[in-house]
Amino acid sequence: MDTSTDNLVPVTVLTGFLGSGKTTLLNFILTEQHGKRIAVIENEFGEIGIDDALVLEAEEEIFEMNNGCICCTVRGDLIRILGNLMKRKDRFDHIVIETTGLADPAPVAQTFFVDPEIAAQLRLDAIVTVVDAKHLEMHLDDDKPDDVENEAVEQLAFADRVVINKVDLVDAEQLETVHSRIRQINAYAPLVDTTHGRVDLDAILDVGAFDLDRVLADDPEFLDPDAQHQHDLSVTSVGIEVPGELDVERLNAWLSTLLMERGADIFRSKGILAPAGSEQRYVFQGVHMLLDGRMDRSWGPEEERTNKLVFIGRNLDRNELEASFRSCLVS
Amino acid sequence: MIGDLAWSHDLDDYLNCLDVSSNGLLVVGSLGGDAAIIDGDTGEHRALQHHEMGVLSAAWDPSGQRVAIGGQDGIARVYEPTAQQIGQIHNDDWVNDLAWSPTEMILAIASGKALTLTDADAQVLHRCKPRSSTITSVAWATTGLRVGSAAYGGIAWYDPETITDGQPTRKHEFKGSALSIALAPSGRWACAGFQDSTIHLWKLWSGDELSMSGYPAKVELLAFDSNSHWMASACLEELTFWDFSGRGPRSRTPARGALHDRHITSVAWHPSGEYLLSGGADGRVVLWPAPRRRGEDLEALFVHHAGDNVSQVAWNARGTRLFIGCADGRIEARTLEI
Repeated sequence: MDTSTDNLVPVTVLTGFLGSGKTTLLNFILTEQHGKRIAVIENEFGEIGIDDALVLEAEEEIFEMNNGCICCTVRGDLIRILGNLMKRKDRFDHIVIETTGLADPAPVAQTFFVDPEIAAQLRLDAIVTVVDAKHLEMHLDDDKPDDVENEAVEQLAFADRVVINKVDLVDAEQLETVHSRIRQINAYAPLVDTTHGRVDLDAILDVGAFDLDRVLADDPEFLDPDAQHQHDLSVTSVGIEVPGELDVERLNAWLSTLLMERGADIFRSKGILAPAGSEQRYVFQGVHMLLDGRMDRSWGPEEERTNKLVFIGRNLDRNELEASFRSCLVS
Repeated sequence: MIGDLAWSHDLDDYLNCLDVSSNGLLVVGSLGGDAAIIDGDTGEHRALQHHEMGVLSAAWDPSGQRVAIGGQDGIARVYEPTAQQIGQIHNDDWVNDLAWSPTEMILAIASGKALTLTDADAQVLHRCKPRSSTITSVAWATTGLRVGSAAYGGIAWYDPETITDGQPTRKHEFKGSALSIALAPSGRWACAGFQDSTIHLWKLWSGDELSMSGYPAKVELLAFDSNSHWMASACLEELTFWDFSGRGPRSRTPARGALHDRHITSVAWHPSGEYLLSGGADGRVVLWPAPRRRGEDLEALFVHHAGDNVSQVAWNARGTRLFIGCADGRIEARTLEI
């Protein structure tokens, strides 16, 4: 992806189950006085009745890419609809892609990594997942066959922001449980409590969650040592912090092996690394096997050289990940 | 040299489609939805019906007696050259491409996953069984006996003479999302450009096939010259010319044309096959000579700077005039002296 993000139109991906209040939130985004021209692309018929916004319908069309990634799927419908939208004179300040309740967010996100025409004009801003405080647990506990992913879990795992809607329908204790259940899956996405989809738009729009400049910059609970260990959960977050400098060759080998072997299981990854022999930090973020990374600002004179990595995925073993990562340190 | 301005005309938005008939009429359509038939010599124009959310496809039949135009509104319309509407077909999805048979007056309409064949009066002849993904491009074999549709999985061919249950008569399969299709005028080769940075070639009716990778991005523009010698492909800022003479491009180094500094949006061979025009988002229209040898780095013959990003380039049938469409909706005709 292009790193000069100034002229790129931000795109918010809005996911969430039917009944979570996704459409209510979308209507709130569109009616709130923010002075932005917003285009909406939706995959299922919603009741949006806003004159000023352009609402486009697209039928979800997922296909595989032959680029060596077994799990790399993209959304053909989005490539076409966004391609035409960006050619028109009518310019938009923001684009919102509303996915179906059962959609996998990965192909949407991956579309922004693999299509250069899209990457040249648009930037993926954030994946915002809307959940219903009252029914979230039921969806998370929904028993699925072994080979089928629970979509509610997947949508939380991918999220950069989680909007917890209908908090007025639960008591404080139940809300605490909802927070805790979300944290067990995704320890890093800020949570936004709300009723009737009314949120501070600054909390969900233009947050730059995919900007390399802001990798791990606003993860307040990064590496919380008290994070609950839930070994029975298949989808979890793992944060690793290891001080020291990295052998670049070993790091490359480690990262490529990890993404090759575990890419299908790793939904999101982010990191700030300290390569040996460089004055600069290396930053990256990824979706499954697709990784976007570059050299970042220089380390400060007093700043400790340390490596921070975050993975959200299925069947992650913190000890194994940390031990194998440590083998990349310059001895 | 690309010469004086003969005429110009403005549409409301990005000039998305441009096709020139055998008798010198243009059909143009914009992403705003404006459409018109324009006399290539005089610039005199007649408006066609507006397409909500934009025009995606437009094509003259080879005799110049009919023109078809389709849009994001799912409507395909057929007109006479006088702009008199003959008929229209309402489809469920965007009309991504249209193509007339070179020999019969049969129109192929690609809308979403569906391919529909109509006669010259827009009466439906066949509705082919929908493909499993969206059809991005259609093209007729030079014999007019078959029409090919590109979608995820390659090219599916339909034969209007024998079609009964809407099933394809033949498939050229390749796992990937095909975005464009080009057929050699000789009838020997079919080619498709893919989202995954490759082109795939099939030697028609022997079944031989080969892939060309090494492109930096998806390949949406493919064009054979009239002699079936070179096929030009454009990917981002660069042109690649594959040598299809004799046994074809296998193990042959292509020629290159690198001059644009933003992505190429349109290419058009001169009717003689001796020159190629390319237009780009950098606002340049470049006149290239056909390669003289494989592996050559081509030098442009002439560079013209249009007022805005170029979206379409085309020639008239005699190759004496060229037409340039721009992102701001402007279309202009210029004389040419080679």
